Amino acid sequence: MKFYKSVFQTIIQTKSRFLSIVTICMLGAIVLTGLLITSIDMQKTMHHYYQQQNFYDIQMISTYSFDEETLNDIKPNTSFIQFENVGISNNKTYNFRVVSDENQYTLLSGRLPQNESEIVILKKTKNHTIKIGDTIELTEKNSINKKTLNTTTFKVVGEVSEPSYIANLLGGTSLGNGVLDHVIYVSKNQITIKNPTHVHVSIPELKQHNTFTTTYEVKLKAITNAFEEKAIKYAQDIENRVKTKAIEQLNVEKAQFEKEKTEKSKALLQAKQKITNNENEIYKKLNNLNKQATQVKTHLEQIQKTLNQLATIKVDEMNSTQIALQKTQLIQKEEMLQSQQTQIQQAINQLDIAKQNIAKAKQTLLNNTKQYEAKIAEASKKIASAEEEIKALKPAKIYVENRLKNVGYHTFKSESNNIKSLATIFPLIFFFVCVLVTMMTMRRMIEEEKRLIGTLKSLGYKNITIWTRYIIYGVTACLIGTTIGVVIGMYFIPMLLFKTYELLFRFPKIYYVFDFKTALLTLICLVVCVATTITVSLYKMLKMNTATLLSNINTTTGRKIMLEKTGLMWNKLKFLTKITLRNTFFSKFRLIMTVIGIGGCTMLLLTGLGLSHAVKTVSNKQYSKIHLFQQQATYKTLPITNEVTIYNEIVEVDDQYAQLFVGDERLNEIINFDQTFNKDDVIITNKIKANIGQTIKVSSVDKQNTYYLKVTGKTTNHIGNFIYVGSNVLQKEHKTVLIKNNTSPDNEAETTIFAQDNITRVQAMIDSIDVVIIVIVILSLLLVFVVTYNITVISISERIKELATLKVLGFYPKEIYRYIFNEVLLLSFLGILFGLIFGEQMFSVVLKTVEGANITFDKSLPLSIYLITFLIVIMFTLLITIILRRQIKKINMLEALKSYD
Amino acid sequence: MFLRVSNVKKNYQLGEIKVEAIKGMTFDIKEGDFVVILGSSGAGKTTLLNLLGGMDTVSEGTITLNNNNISAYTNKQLNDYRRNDIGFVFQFYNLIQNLTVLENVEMATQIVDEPLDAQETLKMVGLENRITHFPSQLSGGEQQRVAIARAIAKNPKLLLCDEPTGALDYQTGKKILALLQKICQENNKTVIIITHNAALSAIGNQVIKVQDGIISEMYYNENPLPIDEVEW
Repeated sequence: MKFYKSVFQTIIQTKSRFLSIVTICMLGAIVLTGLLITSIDMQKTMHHYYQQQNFYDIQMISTYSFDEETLNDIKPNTSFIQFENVGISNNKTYNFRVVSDENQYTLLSGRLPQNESEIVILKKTKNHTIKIGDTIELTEKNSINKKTLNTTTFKVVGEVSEPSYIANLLGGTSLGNGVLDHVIYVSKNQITIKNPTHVHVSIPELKQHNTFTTTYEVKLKAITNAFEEKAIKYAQDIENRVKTKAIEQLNVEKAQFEKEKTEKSKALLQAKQKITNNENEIYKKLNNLNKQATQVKTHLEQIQKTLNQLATIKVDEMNSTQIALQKTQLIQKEEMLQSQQTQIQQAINQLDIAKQNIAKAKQTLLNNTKQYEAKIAEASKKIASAEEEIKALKPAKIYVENRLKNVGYHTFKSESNNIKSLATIFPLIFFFVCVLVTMMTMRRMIEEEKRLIGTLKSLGYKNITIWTRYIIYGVTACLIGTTIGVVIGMYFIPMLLFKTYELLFRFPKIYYVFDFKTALLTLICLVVCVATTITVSLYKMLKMNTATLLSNINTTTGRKIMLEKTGLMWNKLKFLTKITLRNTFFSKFRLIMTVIGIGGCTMLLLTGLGLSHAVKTVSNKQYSKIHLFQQQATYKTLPITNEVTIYNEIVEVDDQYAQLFVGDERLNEIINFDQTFNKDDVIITNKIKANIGQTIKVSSVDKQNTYYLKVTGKTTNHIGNFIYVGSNVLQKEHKTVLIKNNTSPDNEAETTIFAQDNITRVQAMIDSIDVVIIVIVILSLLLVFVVTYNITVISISERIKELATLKVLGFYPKEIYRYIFNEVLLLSFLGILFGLIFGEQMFSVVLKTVEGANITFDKSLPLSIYLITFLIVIMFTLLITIILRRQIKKINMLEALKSYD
Repeated sequence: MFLRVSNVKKNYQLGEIKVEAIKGMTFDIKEGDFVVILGSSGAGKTTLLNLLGGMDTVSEGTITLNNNNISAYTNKQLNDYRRNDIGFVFQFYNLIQNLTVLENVEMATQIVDEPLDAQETLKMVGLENRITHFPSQLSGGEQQRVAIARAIAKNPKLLLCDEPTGALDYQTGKKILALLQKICQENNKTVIIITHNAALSAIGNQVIKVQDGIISEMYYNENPLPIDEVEW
């Protein structure tokens, strides 16, 4: 027991060494657990949120609305109407996604709508351009191209969240600049579309898998395929039903039309008949009347004649009465006839009026007939066009999109995987350096205690017992350090990183997981490394016989170094430089350890700073070195311009989105290609997975167009994916102008995309990478500090007798500092050099893992990054030499008189 | 007087215990003498050596060398004193392992104003053929000779030797002492040897015996014996 007590006494006596092992193990543990756990925490948190919100696995979108029958078959969680609409709020234009309120959301602040002109808006994690109380005025521009809303002015009363939108970036749209700015939830009654366009489906059997695992992905993909097959059938059914319904309705309309037509024409015919009959009758009557009139006239003439004859007859007594009687009779008759004549005339006059009426009736009939004919023509035209419409109905399409395509899901996944990949490369180097330094420290301790080991052995202690002394020492330090490190790593690092991720993603309550697997892994890794180191170092010592251990014989031999042997320069060097050089290369072990240790730190630092640089300069590189245009304005009809014009479209290649540019040689003016672009070329940017000579299938986002293009070249690009197609390959009407200057946007343009907008979009990703980098840089700096400190302390302790001797010989402190620190500086210089050379490799490996599908970072590192890294490490070394001066001052000259070293 | 030690006391504080390593010593040493300080372990001889060598300061009393009060020196002055006035020979040689024989000597000569020639000094100690060797390639006696060469090449006023033969065998030890004697006589250097070996008292001009922190006996040999005639 006394033996073990002595171990703990040693720990107290050599507390600075013990603490340095604790610190190094702690740093290693922080980095490893911190970076590993962050991605686990992030994914667990989001997985729970998705579970709790019953987030969809499959989303189906129909170009025709889903009908009752299909919905009954699919049995979705939710079905709703969704389209995009340009709108204005606070005098600014935004692209809105309008979702019917049937979709599920969670109220975060404000209140739920109480009437149909009130809406809730999706809460964004940053850039809250629209707040509660603001009004949104939707314009006629929407993605459906027909009237979609009953009212267009809405008041925002609440902010909500929905699992579909966890990232601050909401996705793309066919409207405006192509960026979706906001999502609003509008009452279903305000939307003119009656049936849902979107359905969300959750698959119960997928619930048991974490959504970020490959198992989930594989299973979901299989299910998606099954849905895709079903979707074809659904689409066909919906289309058939729509067509049948349309045809049925048309037929009904047609029949009605025919019926009306017959009825109307019959009525017209009857009316015509009636008019003709009337007319005939009138004419008949007129004829009679005329006859009567003629008769009356003849009678009257006869009477007149008779009267005239009577006048000629001499009037006598005898006949006078007779004549007078006759006369009276005649006059009476005449009067009667005359009144008859008047009557006839009156009748004729009446008939004239009747005639006029008939003429009027005829006119009316004519008009009616004309109207009828026009109506018929119109109706038949309508029917014809309806028939045409039915014939021209576009085939119904149902798109199946799974969770993997959700913008929030996949940005989140790639962000958390970024950390994961950083969590494998960085800790590896970190670990390596930590183990190395622990190894050096323990080895030094064992060497210092050579005599003690000899004494213990001579006292009869077994090798295993001696071994436990160092194992207890090393493993205790390691356990303490690792435990602290694991706790810090598990909570502090994720907390730090989450702070920034909260700007990019809407997190529900964060799950801080204490992952025992990770903790144990870290612990085992470190303990095994330390224990192995101790065992290896001790093995050599224990193999020596006791006498050798106890003797003062110095086993180390001075050696001339290479430089000396060549004879060149050596004699010209100053004495102190000679000693420094010889001492530096004296112990190969220490040389290699130091160079790797400091080199490793330098690599980490260079990688961190390099990443930060690459990430920060990527947008500048894209928009001042590759794409030289500032705006991309698309018109309905191209205005006259001398800027470069193109046809452009957003397309899908495999699973990637890309912009298709169709243009001619003038593209060379505003895009820097790796090779000159000409009309027959199809040049793709480097992130599109295809080789030169390969034919790629490119389809537009709305699946309307599909092109097969043979790739003739690849070109460097930093942000986004592009396919540049020569005008000889695809004939397309140019509708887009690429504007070089950052002038104010043209109001005539349908959409304008600004380079600046794209920069803002990548900024989010850049921010997130930057935090991780800052954490890594800080930890690397700590490591640099601890490593150089340790190496220097070891250097001093190895030379303590030498330094004491120099003191006795009368060397000034300054000379002694130089004697030891020149060596440390030279070693760290070599280490830095090594680190800078290999750091570049590490940097490019790490860079690749971080960049993701749409971004390519520039792999070249500017000299300044090397310089800064160099300066930082050198400064740290200098700082440490200053700190450690005290330690050298403290060296007791009496050490020189001791018998052993 | 060349070196004068008067009423020197040295106390150490070890935790709560105060240890009186030197309880009061007074003696003079003439220039060019070969002085042997004799004492068993714990007698205070090493403490005395530390005080004479400027590695430690007195608690009481004064030490003067050529009338300079060393005991009143600041650290910086003590540093200069060690650098220019003292040559030190260690029991375990304390050579820099990573420097050759010549370099070990040169290391010392380059820090003083009027050094002796390094190669000449090495010739004097009989190592002219080994100047390019490293210490580990030499025997113990040879290493101690290098140490002596290093000490005298600085051309010090006083050569302090701490058990110079302690780590050497009998014959080699004798040779080293002979060398020291030779240096004393031929170069007129004051040499102080600290040893527990009573037989060496015969070779000193002056012998100081210390015991329990005080001088128990001090005497001068009119005719000190050459080392060859001393046996132990």
